Amino acid sequence: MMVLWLLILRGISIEFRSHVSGPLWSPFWDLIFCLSSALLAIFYGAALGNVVRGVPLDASGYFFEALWTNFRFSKDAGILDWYTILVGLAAYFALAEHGALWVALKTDGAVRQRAQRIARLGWWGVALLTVGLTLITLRVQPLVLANLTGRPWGFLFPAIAIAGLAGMFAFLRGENTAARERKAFFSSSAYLLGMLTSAAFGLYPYVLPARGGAALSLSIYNTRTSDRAMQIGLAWWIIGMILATSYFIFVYRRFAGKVGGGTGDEHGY
Amino acid sequence: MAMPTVWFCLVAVMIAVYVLLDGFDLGRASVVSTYR
Repeated sequence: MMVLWLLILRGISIEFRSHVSGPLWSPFWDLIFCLSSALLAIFYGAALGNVVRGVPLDASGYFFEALWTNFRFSKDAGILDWYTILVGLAAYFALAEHGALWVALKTDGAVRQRAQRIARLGWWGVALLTVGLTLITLRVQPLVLANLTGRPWGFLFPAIAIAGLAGMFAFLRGENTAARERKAFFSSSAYLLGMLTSAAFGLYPYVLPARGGAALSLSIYNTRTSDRAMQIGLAWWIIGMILATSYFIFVYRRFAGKVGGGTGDEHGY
Repeated sequence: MAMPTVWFCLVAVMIAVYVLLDGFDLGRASVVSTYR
């Protein structure tokens, strides 16, 4: 419900900011847009933290969690505890970095310089949270380390994340060219891809681990449908993905290059 | 590869790609006031 409200606030902020001209109106909606986007990134991260940490599933496959209890990592922890909040903060820093690199890539002048400065500063936050979160996750969810040591090829995924992090650091410094900005953005993409695939690899074969043990967890085996249904789904998935990919290629080509600067008083879209 | 594993991989990749494509929008919006 909170995610839904935040999504609604993002939408109406863009819509409302240009309806009235006044010294407070547009900045107010810009602030709402900024806060709702930041909270959305944090809540998405906290949701991922809950999936990695595990939830109190019962034998029927259902669970209830309070939004928070005592913020401690314990059996009666709520949706928000210190671990899930940390994952939320890491998500916020990672996405703010990704967004700042995108703005640097798409703009010119003062905005581009400010975005680059934010990206350079933000990198340290991303790096510190990545190291801290990785160490804590290995203790919070032992399955991650067990999967990595059981199938060592899986270290490829954290390696992609580390390479992305190093790439961002390297391309954010030195000569300031469009090619380096593009490489920095793609490094950030590699970092996000590496982190998320590492989490998925670490949890396999579980889709939602239970705090009460493996017997209560939801896995790809006890939530599966028939092979026939999955084969039909795969055929339609391929068709759908071809259409979606074609659409994205068209859109990104259509809007390729730098965007023009504005005064900030125009429509928000 | 078994079908449940195939779907696990597909869903993981879809979520990761969603984060890449929507994440920079959320990210730049969360620092938008800094740009003005």
